[in-house]
Parts: sequence; C-alpha cells; structure tokens
Amino acid sequence: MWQKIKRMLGGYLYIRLTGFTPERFLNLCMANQIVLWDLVFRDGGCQFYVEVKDYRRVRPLARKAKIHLKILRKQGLPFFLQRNRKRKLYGAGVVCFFLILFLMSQFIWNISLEGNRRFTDDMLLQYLDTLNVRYGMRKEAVDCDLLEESIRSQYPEIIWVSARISGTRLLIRVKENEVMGTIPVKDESPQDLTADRAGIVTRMVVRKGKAQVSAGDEITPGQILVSGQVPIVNDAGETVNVQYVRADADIYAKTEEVYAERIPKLAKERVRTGRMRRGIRVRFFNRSALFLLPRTGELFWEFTAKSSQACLFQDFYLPIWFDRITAREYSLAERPWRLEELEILKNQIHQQKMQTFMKKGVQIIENDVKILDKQTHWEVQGRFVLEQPVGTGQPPEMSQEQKQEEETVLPDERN
Amino acid sequence: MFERVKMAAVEELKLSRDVILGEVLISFVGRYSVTIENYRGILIYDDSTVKLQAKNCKLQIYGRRLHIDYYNYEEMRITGQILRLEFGD
Repeated sequence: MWQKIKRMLGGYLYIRLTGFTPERFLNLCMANQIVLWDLVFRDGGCQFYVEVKDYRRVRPLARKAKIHLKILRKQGLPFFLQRNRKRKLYGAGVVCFFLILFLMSQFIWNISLEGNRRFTDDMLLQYLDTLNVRYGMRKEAVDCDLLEESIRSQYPEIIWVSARISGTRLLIRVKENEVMGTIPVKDESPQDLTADRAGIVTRMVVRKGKAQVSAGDEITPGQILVSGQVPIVNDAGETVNVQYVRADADIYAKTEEVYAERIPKLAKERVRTGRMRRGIRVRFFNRSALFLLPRTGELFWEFTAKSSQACLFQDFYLPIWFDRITAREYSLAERPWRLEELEILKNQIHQQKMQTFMKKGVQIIENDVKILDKQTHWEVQGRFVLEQPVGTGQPPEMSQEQKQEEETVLPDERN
Repeated sequence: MFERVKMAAVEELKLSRDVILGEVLISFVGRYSVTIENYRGILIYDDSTVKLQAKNCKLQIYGRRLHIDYYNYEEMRITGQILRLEFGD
C-alpha cells in the first residue's frame, strides 16, 4: 500500500522494451538494484513499469544491452500536475475542498450520549447547552474534564461520566446509579385508613390502629376502615385518653369495575393509491433544500423521512443532514366495520384494560365483555370483579383541644 | 571437498539447505502463482517460458500468459497459467 502511494507520488512510467537480449537488460537492472514490476511479454516485446528516478539509471543499461526503450504511458502525481497545470480553478477547487474539510474538522458536529436511561438525551443536551457545549462549537473549547465534573455535580444519580472527542464527535458515556440514592423519610403523622372504592372486604391484616370493619363487611367510599384514634381505657372500661397513631393495614376487598368504550359506526381507512414520490432534503446548518417532485391530484399524501448525518469516516461527522423522503398517496374511505373486526377490536380494548389491572398487581376474579349496537355507534361494555387493596390515608378528625395537645406534646417527645 | 563437508554438516546439523547451500527455493500457490528465491539470473523470458539460472541448476517454467509480478536480487514472482516446471544442468 505504502509502496503504491510512494510510487504514485514520485511518478512512474510504463515502458516497452524491444531488442534481441531483453534478458541481459533485466539481469543488469537486477544487478544495479533497479526495481521493475508487472513485466508482460506482448507482441514480441516486453512491457514493464519503472519509477521515474530509476528510468534515468536504466538508459545506459539499455544502451549496453543494445535494446530499445519506448515510453508508453506516464503516470503519477508529477505527470498529473503537469497535465493539469493550466486548470487553475480545478486546482483551487481541490485545495478549497481540503481546506474546508480541515476547517470542518475543527468543530463538533455530533454529540453522542450513551448509557443514559433515566435522563433522556434531550435533558442532557439541554444541560450541555447551558454549559455552552453544543453542535458547531470549536473542539478546543470543550474541556472534557470540566464537562464530566459538571454533569456529575448536576445529576447526583449519575455516578460515572466519560467525555471524549473523537473526530468531530463528542462522545459522552454515563453510568447511572441503579440503587436508591436516599432512604425516604417515614411519615409518622396520625392518619385513618378510609375506603377509596366500594366493595366487600375479603381479608385484612391490621398493624397499627383500630379496625372498624372486618372480613365480609360491605364498604362504601370514604368509610373509615382502620381508625388512627386508639382509645386508652381504665380498669373500669372508661376512655381516659385517645392516642393518635398512623393507621397501617393491608386490606383487600372484592370490587367491581365497569367500563364502556364508544366505537364509531364507520371505520375510517386510508386507501393507498400506489402512487409514490421520492425525494431528498439536504439540511446545512439552519438552511435546507428540498428535492421532491410537486404533488399532483386532489388526494392526500403521507410523508415519511429517514434522516442521516453525513459522515466521512467513523467519527468524522459533517454539519450536513440528508432526509430521504417517501410520499405515498392515499384517499380516506369510510366503511362499516366487519363483525370479525369488531370482535378483534373488542378483545383488544378488553385486553388493554386487563393489562392495566395486572400491572397494578390486582387479582382478576371474573371478567366479561360484550359489544352493543347503539344505533349511532358501537359500545364495548366490560366488567371486572377484582380483589384489590383498598384504603388510603386521611388525617383523623380531632377536636381543637386535642390538636393543641398534639402540637404541644410533639416537641416534648422529640426532646 | 569444501562443498562436500558443507553438505555433510547441513545433513548432520539439519540446517536449512537454501540458507547454507544457496539452493533454489520454489513456492507454488495453486497453479497460477510461483515464487522463486535464491536464483541468480534470467536466461529466457517470454509469455510461455521463463528460464532461470540458480546456483546449482537451471529451472524452466512453462505456461501461458506468464507475467513477472516483480523481481529483485532475492526473489521473483511469476503469475499466469503454469503448465510445468523442469530442472536442467
């Protein structure tokens, strides 16, 4: 490879050799360490390549061997420049190309983020923007060490950052902390547990507080299930004081959930006509040029584009983006749903609802779904019988005296 | 006499004959490429025959469209359709 480049830069000749003793000439060249390559015997003569610097040494040897040399072709950079010495603009264009390429290589044209899951690319790019790290900035202005420190201090959840510049690309790799950073502070303020939905209690385990319902009881929304007021009774069974605690219990209730979803009577469908237009949009900084045939007809077109950034080598990105655009013509058509389509749609809607419950960890005891014709639309009606946790925390009702007492007692308790 | 001693030493010490005795070394890659090392000079060259002088013998390569890729003081590579190789004195 390097030998080829060296020969190209120095220039080389393709020569035809004729005479009676070509072998003697070849041996003389070998003895004088003159390199000849690609020797071919053609039309009674021998043809070969030789470097320009060696050609001057070859001529006396040719005289000695009594053979005749004829230059068939001159190749390489010196001859190319000589041939094109009058094409000044061509040369200027080549020089400009390399100059622009060199100038482009002094800036950042691509920022790659890897390893981020909790913090999206947009979030990190916005933060980088506040640090004046953005597309099109000079590579020298990027302080990778400072950038790493800034990201770590801004996002404590990111435990490791690596920033490096490769070509025209700024590559930032982060590693997020996968374990919980801080232990949440436990709320110890008094509360009751109240029902957030209607149902029948199936089972309950009370850890703190006084149970107000038991398994088998029917509950209504807002009803207190476990009270945070624990009465303190004396030997006579009289309430002498009330202690306020944070009620804590696992209460499961059998509940019923119903839903109804409307489906329009007619299905809207995009019918593709098969006509297609392809084009390309070139974006350069904030300017863009679109190369797409003009639209014809009265119908609609849907456009899809696949964007890619110009890249010379692996990490040598340029500030030029190409969007390959595909436009497909379609018409909007309305038609009544087919029965099998309605069946699929009904099942899809029901499955989605079911998935939502299952994600919450709710146990589904019964479920059924039906589709009804409501003249103007279709209606999917579903019903679930579930066993799910009930009970949300509510501050207990206290009298003014009790509140004051609570406020004065609490600081003392801390001491 | 000296040559005989040298050959005996090479045999006994199991040394490489091409290095010590300057024997010609021929490496074929399929039937379309051959590399010859330790040759002394070119005797005949045309598109069907290449005759070379080695230290102790002559070797002649016959073929079609024979083409010398490169040659220098140490080795030569010939490509083309090689039909046969002959040794002579």
